[in-house]
This record gives sequence, C-alpha cells and structure tokens, in this order.
Amino acid sequence: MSREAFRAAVLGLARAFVVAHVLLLLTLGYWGVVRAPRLLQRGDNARWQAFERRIARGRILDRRGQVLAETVTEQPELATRRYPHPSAVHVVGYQAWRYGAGLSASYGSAGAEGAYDAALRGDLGLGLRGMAAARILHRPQRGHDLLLTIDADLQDLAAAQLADREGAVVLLNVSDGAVLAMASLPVFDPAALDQSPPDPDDPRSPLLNRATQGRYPPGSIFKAVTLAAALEEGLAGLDDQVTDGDRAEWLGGLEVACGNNPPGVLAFSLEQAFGWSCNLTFARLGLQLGSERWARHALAFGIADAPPFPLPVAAGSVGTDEAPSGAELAGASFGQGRLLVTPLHMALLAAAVAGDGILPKPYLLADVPGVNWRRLADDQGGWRRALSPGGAEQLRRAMVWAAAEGWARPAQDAAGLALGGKTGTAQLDGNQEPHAWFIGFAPAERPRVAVAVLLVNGGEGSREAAPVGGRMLAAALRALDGQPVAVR
Amino acid sequence: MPGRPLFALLLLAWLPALAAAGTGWLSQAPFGTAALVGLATLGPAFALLAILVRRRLRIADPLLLPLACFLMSLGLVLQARLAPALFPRHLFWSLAGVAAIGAGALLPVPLRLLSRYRYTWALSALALVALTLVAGKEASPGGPRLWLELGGLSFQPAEPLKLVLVVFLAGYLEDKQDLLARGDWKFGPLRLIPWPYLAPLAVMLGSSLLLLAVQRDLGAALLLYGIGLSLLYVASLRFSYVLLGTAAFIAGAAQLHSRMPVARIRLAIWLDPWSDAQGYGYQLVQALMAVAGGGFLGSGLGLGQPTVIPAVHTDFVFAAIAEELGLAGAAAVVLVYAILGLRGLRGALRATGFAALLAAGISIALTLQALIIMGGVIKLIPLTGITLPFLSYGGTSLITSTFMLGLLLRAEAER
Repeated sequence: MSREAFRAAVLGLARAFVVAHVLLLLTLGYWGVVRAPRLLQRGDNARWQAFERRIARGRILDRRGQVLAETVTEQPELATRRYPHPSAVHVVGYQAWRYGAGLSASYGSAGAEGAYDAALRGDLGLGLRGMAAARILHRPQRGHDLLLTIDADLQDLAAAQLADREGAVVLLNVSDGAVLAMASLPVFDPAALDQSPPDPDDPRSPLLNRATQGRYPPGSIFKAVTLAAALEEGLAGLDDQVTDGDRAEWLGGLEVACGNNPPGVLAFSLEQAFGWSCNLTFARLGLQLGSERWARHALAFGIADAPPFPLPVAAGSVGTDEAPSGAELAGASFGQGRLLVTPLHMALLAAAVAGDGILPKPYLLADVPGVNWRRLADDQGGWRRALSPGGAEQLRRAMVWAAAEGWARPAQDAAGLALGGKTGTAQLDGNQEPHAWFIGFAPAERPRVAVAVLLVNGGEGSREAAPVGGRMLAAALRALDGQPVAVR
Repeated sequence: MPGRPLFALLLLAWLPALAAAGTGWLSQAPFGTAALVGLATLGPAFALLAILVRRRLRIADPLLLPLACFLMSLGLVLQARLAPALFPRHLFWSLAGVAAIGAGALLPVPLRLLSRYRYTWALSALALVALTLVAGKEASPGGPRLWLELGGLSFQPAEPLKLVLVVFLAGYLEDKQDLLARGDWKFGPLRLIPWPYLAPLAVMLGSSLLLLAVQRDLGAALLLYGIGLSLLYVASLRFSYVLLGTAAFIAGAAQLHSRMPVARIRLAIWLDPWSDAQGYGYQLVQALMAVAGGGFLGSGLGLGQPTVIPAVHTDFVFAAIAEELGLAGAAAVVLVYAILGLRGLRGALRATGFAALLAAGISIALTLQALIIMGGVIKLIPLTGITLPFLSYGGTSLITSTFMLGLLLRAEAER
C-alpha cells in the first residue's frame, strides 16, 4: 500500500466525516429552530406546561377583593388553580392545560383568565430585568392580581335566583358600564376540565356563556325599541289614547291581537299599552314607522353588532335582510319574528334607557394593583347613542309605570323599591316553553343599576323573570352602597 | 509532547462542565454537589494522566486528551443530573476510563502484539457475544439480551467486539494490503482480490453481524458494518468494495426488514414517528420535542424535562444536551466529535503500518458510533440503540471508548 493511496483514502474519509457532521448540525437546526414552534405546541409536550406551571399566576378578585380564582401550591411544582365561586365561571373563565386549542399563552383559556392572560402571567410590565430574571436565571415569573368589576355576592345571588334553570343575568352599573354581575347557567367546573373535559355534544352546552354568546328572540322587552323609535320620530306620545283592548287586526298579513291587557280594560294610553304589553298597538306602530325607520332605530341599539367587551360576544340580528317588512316587521315590533339578541344587548338597552340614551361600553377590569394598567384596561365610556336624552326619559317613565302598575309589577314587589322594568315572553315554535325575559333599572329616579334576565324556556316573563330581576336590582343597590348582599 | 498547551487545553476542556455544575450548585439544584465532587476528582485524574502521557510518549496529539476530558466531564455532570442514583457508578467508571486511556497509551507492550493474536481476540469476543444469547440479561423485559452479569457487574460484550473487530481488520488488512490494492480477480466490472484471501475477513465480519442480528442489537451491527466497510476502503482505496459492501448491506437490511419485527418498527418510526407518538414513536417524538424545547441556549441544566425520554442517560443523552444546554451545547458536542474524528485520522496519516490502520479504525469506530446515535436521536437516520461514546452512562462503553482513545494516542507515537 503506497502512502499516497492511504493518504487519499483517509482524506476521503475525513471529507465524509465533515459532511456527516454538517448534516447533523443542519438537522439539529431544523428541529430546534424551524420545527420548534410546532413541536412545542403539541399536546403531548409537557415542556410548555411545565414552564407555565412555574409561573406564579396572579389571582382574580372581585370588586371587593373576594377571591374568584387563585393558584394554590399544595406541593412544590404542583400548583393548581382554584375557583371558589362556581357562579362566576363564565366571567372568570378557565385556564386548562390540555383542554381547548389555544396556541400561544396556554393550551386553553376563556373568560378573564384568557382575556387578561398577559397580566395574570406577569408578562405585562415585566421590563428587561424581569425578563432576564425569568428567562436566563429561571426565576419563577410572578403574575399580577386582577380586580374585576363583578361582585361575587351578586354572582352567587344570580346563580341562586336562576337555581338550576338554564339562563343568564347581566347586571350593569348605569353610569360607566361596569359589569356588576354576569351569570350564565348551567356552569361547569373549570378546575376539572383537564380530567373530565365536557362533552362537546352535551345539549345543555355548559361551556357557552349565554350572557354574551347566546342568541335568543327577545319577546316583548323589545317593545321598548319600537316605543323609542315611535317617540323619537314624533309618531306618538306616551299619553296618546288607544282602543286596542278587544280587537284583533290583520297587519301585513299577520293577525295581531292586543293579547295581554287586563280583562275589561279596552281603552288606555300608549304608556299603559307598553306596561300591559299590548301587541296590536306596537305592531301598528312598527308598520307606521315602516321598515327603514324601524330598522334604523333598532340598529342604533347595537342589536346587529357585537358590543365591545373583553370576552367573546355574539352579534344579534334584526331579521334576515336587516330590515324586516310586512308581517315580519309587525312581529318584530313586539319582539317576535326573526329577531335575535343576547342578554348583554338587552342589559345595554336597559342601561341606555336608565342613563341618558347612550349605550355604555361594558367593562370587566376594575384595577391591576401595582401596574400601570390603563393600557390594557377595557375602554370605558359610551359605546354609541341609542336614543335622545328626552326619549330615554320618556322610556324610563313608561318602564316605571310598567313596574308600578303593569306586568313588571312582580319585579318591584320582589325588590321592595320603586324601579323601572319590562317583561318579555318570547314565543317559540312548537310545544317549547317560551323564554322568560326581564329588563329593568333601579331606582326609579336617577337609576344607578340596570339588569337583563333571561330564563331559557323559562315560561312567562312576568312570573318567572321579573322577580329575579327585581331582587338583583335591589341587591345591586345594596352592594353599591357597601351593604351586605343577602344571598337567598 | 509540549506540556503547557496540553494542560491549558485540559483546563479549558474541563471548564464548561464546571460552569454547568457550578450554576447547578449555586441554584441549589439536587445534582450540584455530586457533579462538583465528580469534576473535582475527574479533573486531577486527567491532569495526572497528562503528566504520565507527556513523560512516556515521544509524540502524541495534544488535542485528544482535552477532547476526551471535555466529553467525559460533561458526561459526568449530565449523569449527575439525569441519573443521580447511578452517579457513583458513573464516576467510578469515568475514573476507570481515565485509567483505561492510560492503559491503552502506556502499557509496555508493543502494539504489534494486538495484531499478532487477532484471531484469539476475535474468537473470544465472538464467544462472549454468543454467550449473551444463552446467559444474557435483558435491559427491559422482553428486550434484547445484551448484558452478561458477573459478580454484580454487568458487561456488554458487543462493546469490546467493536474494538476487536478494528484490531482484527487492521491486522488482517495490513497483511493483505498489497493483494487488496492489486485486485487482479475480476467479478463483472469489479476488480477484487481472490476470494480465499477475503474469506477470513468475511467470516469475522459476517459472524459478528449475524450474532448481533440474532441478538437484535441493530445499533452495534450497523456500527460494525460501517467500521468494516470504511476500513476496507481505507486499506484498499477501492470504491468497488464500498459499492459491493453497500449492496450487501441493502440486501441484508432487506432481509432484516422482512424477518425482524424490530427492524420493521424502527424503519416505520423513522419515516413517521408522529402517528404513533404514544407508542413505538414515543421515545423519538419526545427527543425531538426536547431539541425543540431547548432553543439556542437551552433551558439550563436541571431545568428542562429530558427525563421524560426513556433511556435518556444512555442512548438519548444527546437529546438531553440539546434541551438543557441548547443548540449551542449540542453543536459544541457535535463539533468536538468531528474534531476528535479528524484528529484521529490525522494521527493515522502520521503513523505507519498496522498502527496507521489501527488509528484509522479507531477514529472510524468512535466517529461512526457518535454519528449513528446522534443522527438516530434527531431522526436524521433510523434510530438504532447504541451509546454515545464518553457521554452515555455505561461502564463497558466508557472503558472501551477510553481504551481505544489510549491506543489512538500511542499509534502515532509508535513508528
């Protein structure tokens, strides 16, 4: 064997070694850089979870500092999230490791846990030094506590009022749109999602936040919109007399009767027609307004839009083609037909009427102690004008009459104070029980809180929803005055 | 052999592991103290070895010891972190490994003696491997029987078989190199040597492979085959042997594929580990996620989750490096293996006769072994279980690798 031949062979081998090691480095880079993001998101990758679990996640507190969500560490490295108020789960949300399909912050999150994740994790206001401590020195990151606008006692009261019925309660502070309570039933156990994820085909769909994402026909509470439109357009006044008590008319191809007036009372004012929820009067008003004007006023209430809110919100609808006419318009004018709204929409409507006609921007986050949090704060203030201040005053008058003398009376009786309200009973196809609705505000003079109550297939609004709404309003006033909220 | 650069390099090679162990100790990680104690014994052991080697060997590559020191120090720290219960054993084997480098480099026996008794070595190594078939111990229930147990110590005969094959081939090819290079026997377009001369070589290689295949030790089989083919090429400079060998490999692999479920599974996992990520693909998928989880600088020693990977302290230690020391750490390890292999080949060029072929063979063996397992762990090639030289847990592997390194050191000196 010549030395040259050996040399050539060894050099050839050396070249092969170099090529092989370069290939190895390239492959390392492929998995470590190119494919890394996708690999990290795999559900069977425990690393992301482990990193997240090291974060001392902030607590979620109610407006008075009661704990709604907190992380308890029973053993080192085994932190679990506790949710002491099941009634608030749809607002507080959850942070689950396996459940859900979120891509960035955590595997699945919803509610405030998802919306304010950056603050709860402590990413917010971390700064360069904090970042370095977390990433290089591996100091556990500390999250910030959140103060929400909701009141845990009001949440519990709302859940107790709904009992085990399907439904929702939205309670707003009239002056600024702060959400004092937002309950949706049924609830789920946010701490158990990983162990027993809910069945996606469960007909009760417990994960759905009915307060913001459930779309339902509003029934007679929507007469407030038709009334507002008629007053604003100068077509009618509250003291106008109508004689609709015993008549039924064919309007746009739909036979409409008054339906709800007390027996024997045949002639009454428009204010009383509203309080007694006379369908015929409002169907006629709707047709008088006409499709275009009626729809313009309905849309001014934000029905077809998703209200600005930190949690996912559904838009409603005023009908298939946005401007119903004929029989559909007649029906929509008293809340039937193809109208769809969420309880949040209706609470905003009540708040606009209770205020000076402006739909507030609902918000959830009250404070993040220790952080300049205004940047992530929900925008406060008005969302849009729904009706003029004068129109709002007129509507308040009508709703106060309805609660004092009309079908909303059970609300006032339950509350034990003068308030404004309107009930609704949304008829459904077939043999289904109607949805029971109530919207209202309290007190009657210079209202401070507004509410919407929905009981899905709950029966008659006056009997079922109104007392719930009345009690919620009274309790909310007590809560705002710093008095204890009695949970029944 | 110049002294000062050698000691400076040794220190330099020892420092990264010290830094890793030190940060672990400072952050009160459970492995910190053990790792520091280990390094505090391994470092002086290497220094002592360097003094001896420098005194006794006229010339020796000054890079080889520091490279081994880098890998073994890192291995020590990694074992303290990954398999704390096995750490005392690993420390013992590491110190024994330093001694084995010394033995390989300094034993007052001429290298030619290795070559002269090559048939004896070969037969005894084969016999030991064969013994595992009847008396072997399996690593996991139903797994391959790769270990022999003797007085509480387990021993993996496939490891020394690797060394013996290198010695055998080097000795044999040195004897027959003129014949090999001439190649006056025509087989189609190929020019080969007369088959009777090739027979002992084929018998040795073939029986090794057969035994390992029966034993289902695919990693070792692949390594031995690679060593045989590469050495044949170096000794003959005939690409025809490589072609013929590759063809034979493909035929053999096809046979394995059709006869051995293990081989079929390995191939399927290599092509698509994701569809069986909780089953057969689990180990590989977890290893790839470890690489992804590390990023450029790694999670930091003790702060990743490499222990979810089965066999992370042995075959999959490279994945743990990538996760906790990052791509930077993994790339450093890859580069060190590359430098080790290239320096070894350089030594082969400087040596003569049997020593030259032995040096080439050892470089090939160490480099191929590292490539096969690193490439397997990151899905560059099909995964076959085998240790990562100098880094993995395992006494036999450490002693074999270190002894081979010692021989490599001496091969250059002995001309």
